[in-house]
Amino acid sequence: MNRSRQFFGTVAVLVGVALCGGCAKSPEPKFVLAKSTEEIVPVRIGDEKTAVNPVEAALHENFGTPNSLVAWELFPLDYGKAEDDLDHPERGTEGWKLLHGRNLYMQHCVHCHGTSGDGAGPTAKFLNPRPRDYRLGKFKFKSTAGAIRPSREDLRTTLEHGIPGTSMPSFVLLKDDLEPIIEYVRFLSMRGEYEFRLYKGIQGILGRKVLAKGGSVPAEAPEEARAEFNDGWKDTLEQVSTDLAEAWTTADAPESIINPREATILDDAKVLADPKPRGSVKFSGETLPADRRVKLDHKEGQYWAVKSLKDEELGFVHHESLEARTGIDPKTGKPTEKSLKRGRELYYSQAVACFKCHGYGGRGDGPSTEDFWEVGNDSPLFQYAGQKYEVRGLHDDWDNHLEPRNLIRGVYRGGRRPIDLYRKVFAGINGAKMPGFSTSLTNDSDLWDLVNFVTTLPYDQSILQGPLPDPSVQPPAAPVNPQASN
Amino acid sequence: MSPWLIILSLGSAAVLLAGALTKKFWPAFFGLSAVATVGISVLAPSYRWWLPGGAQSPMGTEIDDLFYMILIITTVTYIAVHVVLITALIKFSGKPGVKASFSHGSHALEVVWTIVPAAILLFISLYQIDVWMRFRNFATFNRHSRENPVAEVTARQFEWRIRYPAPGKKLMQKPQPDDLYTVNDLHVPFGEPVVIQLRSEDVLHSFFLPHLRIKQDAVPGAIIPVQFQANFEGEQELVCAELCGWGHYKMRGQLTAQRKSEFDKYLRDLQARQSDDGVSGGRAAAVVTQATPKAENHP
Ligand code: HEC
Ligand code: HEC
Ligand SMILES: [Cu+2]
Repeated sequence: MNRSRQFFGTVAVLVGVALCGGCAKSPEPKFVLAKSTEEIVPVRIGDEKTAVNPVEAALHENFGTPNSLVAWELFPLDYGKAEDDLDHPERGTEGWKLLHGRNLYMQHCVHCHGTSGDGAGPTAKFLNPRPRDYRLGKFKFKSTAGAIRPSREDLRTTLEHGIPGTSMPSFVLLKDDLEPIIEYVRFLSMRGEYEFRLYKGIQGILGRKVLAKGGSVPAEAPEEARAEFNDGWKDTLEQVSTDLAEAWTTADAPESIINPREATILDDAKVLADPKPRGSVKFSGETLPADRRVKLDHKEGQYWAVKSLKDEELGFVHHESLEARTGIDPKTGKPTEKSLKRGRELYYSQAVACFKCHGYGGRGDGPSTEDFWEVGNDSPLFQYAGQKYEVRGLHDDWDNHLEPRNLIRGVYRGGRRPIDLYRKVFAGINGAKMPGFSTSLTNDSDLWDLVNFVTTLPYDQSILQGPLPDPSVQPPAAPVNPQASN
Repeated sequence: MSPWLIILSLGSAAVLLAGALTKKFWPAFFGLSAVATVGISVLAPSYRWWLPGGAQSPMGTEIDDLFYMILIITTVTYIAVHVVLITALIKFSGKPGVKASFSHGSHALEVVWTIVPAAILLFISLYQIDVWMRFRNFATFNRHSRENPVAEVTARQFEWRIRYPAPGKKLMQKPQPDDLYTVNDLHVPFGEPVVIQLRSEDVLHSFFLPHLRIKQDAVPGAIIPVQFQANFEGEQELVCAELCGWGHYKMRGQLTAQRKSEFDKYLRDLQARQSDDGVSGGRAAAVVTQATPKAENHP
């Protein structure tokens, strides 16, 4: 009796372990629709008998489902041509790159960024900042100007370095696998933006009322109204897809990348041609394309450009002009005092006013963080555009509460290279409220002075001290320490 | 499932069943489990369930030696204890009609089995103290590497953030403007002792180089120097060995051990990349020309 209990006990434990071991089947992954898309009332498209949600139908037709992706040739995506590669047999199928990218995305990214790339994976609600929702086609940390999409290289940089100061990890060890993931992120972003833009297209054709549930239903609308919708819809589909294809093609064009202005040899020459003599000029024999080579002539302490030179002739000069342009002392590689002073002046000026967001002490607590900001036209809450958020402070274009960076910490999400910070000051941060200053500060040296000021702040806060340049800019009285008054 | 596994499972079941039928279930059970434990340990290396290859650092070799010594002692003890246990189970199992007798124990036996393990433990603790000291005691570290840590490694949920001093400079506790940063990608020169400063930004983590047998907890608020020497040229794994949250399993990095000259070049390239300001002949050129003379001041 006792013995059979032992025996059955053992068997029961083994069976239990086997059962728990996993017969559970996870549900099939699905692309979820945006809330706005779900609001759309079904319509009969063309000669179809049944009414369908036009946006949902277009998405399904052109992008498929996670388990059966559709490769739409129209878009600038590298789906992966079948390759004869014995080391990588999985590359044998047409479209392998996108499929491989999807598998890796499902493994590494989905729990934060979500199956549809809507930034709403199961982990997302515990994170601040929230994982990126790719569907707006907006990315913050990139080298391209303004609202231009990120280049493939930008996405690679984000994946390799992660985003310091956030939960976005680095995937540098995935190496060769990054390329397929990048294509898949682009795919998801295109799909998501396609969805939002189609919604806006319908809005344009029908007006807002028709869309709301309970409004007049186009499926039951008179024949002419349906014909009108069908025409408009066809145009919208075409317009949106070509726009998107173009937008993502532009992203990888070299012209889209922000490079410091005045970085050509001619400008070097101009700086040096300044009538005030600036001491000796050093030449280094760096090779430059012929059209950027200029011979500098020297006469009575003055320099000016004479003509373009051929290959074998003199190269390129930088010392003096470099200092004037970037505010960096070429001997030490560090910002000059003059540059830091000018950076501070701009930081606290009414015209540039970094302090309004980043604070008088650089801690990201400026007066703007006390304001109520308005919902923008491009946000997922665009139905409420123009109304104010309920919470004080900045919100990004995804409607997430957003704090300006604490510049004392020296953690830069978009990269810490001087060029990264230059690009932030030049073009702002897309999707965040940080504006670009390329138009208000036409002189590049001003931008570099700001960069120098910001990058010096974490190491030396004494550069904040001194009288404020503009009398209308006044920091709030120092907060009273309640303990001191007791 | 391999046929071997099926044969083994069926065999074990048969032994247990035979034991149960001959009223010797427990001797069969403990005998089988002892045989299985020893058998699995012997087979483990060929299934790659063992240490990941030989130790690739001098300290690692010594730690392996200690490990194997302790393993031998415990194996002998384990087998001896099982022989006694099974003999006792068979010899003294209940027999119909025989009354159990009561013994008050043996004083001499008690003394022996207290002193013998105590002596073994004392021996182990004295024997390993030298390795332990050299691994844990900062003062015993190689002086040059102690004074010139290669990098600061900061563990963070769920990655390793690495900060190197600029070429030719010393690592400072406070970040410096010209420090160099990477993530999950630790480079060190090989064939010489190196020291890293280990920190944590959030919770407990553990810096684990399995191939070098180096493991050290990262404790929030503490800066812990860790010394190791890579005896190989190439890449190995760096993993977190302290359950630190949901992403613990993917908190891994890579250790690259390279020639000193290549390591120096790596740092210089990193520096050039990190000071990129998009201006030809700009900062990047300035720092590169600058770093060389300074490196000579270095002891
Ligand atoms: C632990 C959660 C997490 C995981 C896993 C994760 N991310 Fe992110 N990701 C984030 C967060 C948070 C942000 C937003 C950071 C911010 O806004 O500053 C982000 C931002 C991004 C961005 C936008 C960068 C920009 O310029 O706006 C991209 C692209 C991205 N992630 C791609 C990926 C990919 C691809 C993977 C998988 C290989 C991945 N992420 C895995 C959390 C995560
Ligand atoms: C309207 C508010 C606003 C103004 C004005 C503003 N910023 Fe920002 N800035 C932000 C916000 C918000 C962020 C954080 C964006 C994010 O992470 O999404 C930011 C981020 C930054 C960053 C961090 C970039 C990174 O990669 O992490 C720097 C540097 C910066 N700002 C510098 C400046 C400078 C210099 C100025 C003045 C020329 C300025 N900002 C003006 C709002 C502002
Ligand atoms: Cu960890």
